[in-house]
Amino acid sequence: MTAPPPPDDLPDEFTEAYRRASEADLRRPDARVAASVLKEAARAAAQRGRSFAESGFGHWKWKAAASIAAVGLIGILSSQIYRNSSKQGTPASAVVAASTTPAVRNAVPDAELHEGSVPALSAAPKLPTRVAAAPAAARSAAPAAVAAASATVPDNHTVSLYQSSTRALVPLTAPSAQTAASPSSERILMALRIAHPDLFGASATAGAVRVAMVLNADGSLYKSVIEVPGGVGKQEMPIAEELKQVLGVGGDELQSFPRERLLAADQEHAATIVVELGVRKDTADATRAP
Amino acid sequence: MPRMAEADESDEALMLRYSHGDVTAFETLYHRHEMRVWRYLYRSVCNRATADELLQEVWFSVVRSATRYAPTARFTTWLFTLAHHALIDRHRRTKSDPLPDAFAELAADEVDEPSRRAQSVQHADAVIAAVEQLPKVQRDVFLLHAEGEMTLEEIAVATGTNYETVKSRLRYARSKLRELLQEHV
Repeated sequence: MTAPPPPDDLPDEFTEAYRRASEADLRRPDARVAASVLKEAARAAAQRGRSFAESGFGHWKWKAAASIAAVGLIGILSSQIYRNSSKQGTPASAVVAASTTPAVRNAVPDAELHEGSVPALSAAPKLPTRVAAAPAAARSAAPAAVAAASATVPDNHTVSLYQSSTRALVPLTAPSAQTAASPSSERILMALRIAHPDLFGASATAGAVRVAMVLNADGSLYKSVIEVPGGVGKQEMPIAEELKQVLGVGGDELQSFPRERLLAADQEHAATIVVELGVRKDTADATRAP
Repeated sequence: MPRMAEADESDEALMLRYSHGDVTAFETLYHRHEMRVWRYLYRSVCNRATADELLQEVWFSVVRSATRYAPTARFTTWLFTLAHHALIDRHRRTKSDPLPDAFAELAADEVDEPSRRAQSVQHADAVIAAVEQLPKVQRDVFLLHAEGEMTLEEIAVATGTNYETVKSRLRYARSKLRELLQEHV
């Protein structure tokens, strides 16, 4: 009677024999390698300590200035639109129609619309845990601008005004059920490149990176965070729970069931990116089918 | 030398300590895994100088990635994934076979190191030689499993292949080893 074959993950006789042989092998790497690596490790640790001390306050100031600028820009845009519509006594849709006729809107490709949102995202203040998100002020101010304009605009033009006045701040592409339910890897990668360009630059290091990410219903980025040491990233935690803890997005806000995606990010640099992905319900139009 | 407490500490805890600036934690990690990573690289490229160069590259990557390190997987899985990618990158740079067959270098080492020959057991040499004769993809999977102690699923993620492919490669590797080592088993 023969013994049952070992499960594939368990070492077999050859693995064990190889390990014994390998341990007995007296060949070793050159001692200079160890010296060089340990020296580099010490140098990098010292440099990190210095740069943290030197630049911490500077980063804080930059983030604060960016936040104020974003809020100010929203305020100016909102007041301009409101003033135009009330002074001229013409429906705001007329102003909008000049620049954003349906034909023009239809002619604008999705990619361009997304590019429009890039500056806003990159200028958005980054949270301490490296969360990249659309500015909170933008998210709250945009619907306010729509509401103000809607008072004088027929309902069927509201969407046009919303799109034109907040183009740089709010994702614009017409959502489709397919996009929302199953964002493609390319779309996820695009959002990743916007939110975390350091994963793709020349200085990016090969290795596994874990990113929690929530996309808007139209496939654009809502929030994203690289899980940092000491963060919530526990393998056993359900993804929905993790998204809630890391990004503050609850399961009731999500349109599709959160899941994990493995991306081969970049042939040259970042190697594998594990994305815990959720898609957010469309808050702009609650009647849209999920 | 690493402190006593560090010897018992997990790889992940040591890496986190290094990411917060503790260089002694890194030294412990390095000495703990230096040989396994080097053996994986050496048996893959069969050239000592290249293996040394890649070993340095892998650990430099660890140093550079320290601030971004998140213990979402075993440290060794991450480390051997870096080593695997270092091999692939070297292949791209040199446009050579990333995991070449081994005979010439093995013979050269034997001539260079008579003391090693004197100390080594014939069977051990045969096992290593057999592993080095495996087809490159089978050898890679076998070494990641044997040296990296990675599960098949971890190997699939690290190499960008699917689980079933990894499983069959390992099975073929074992079958080939059985064939090559028939007279020693």
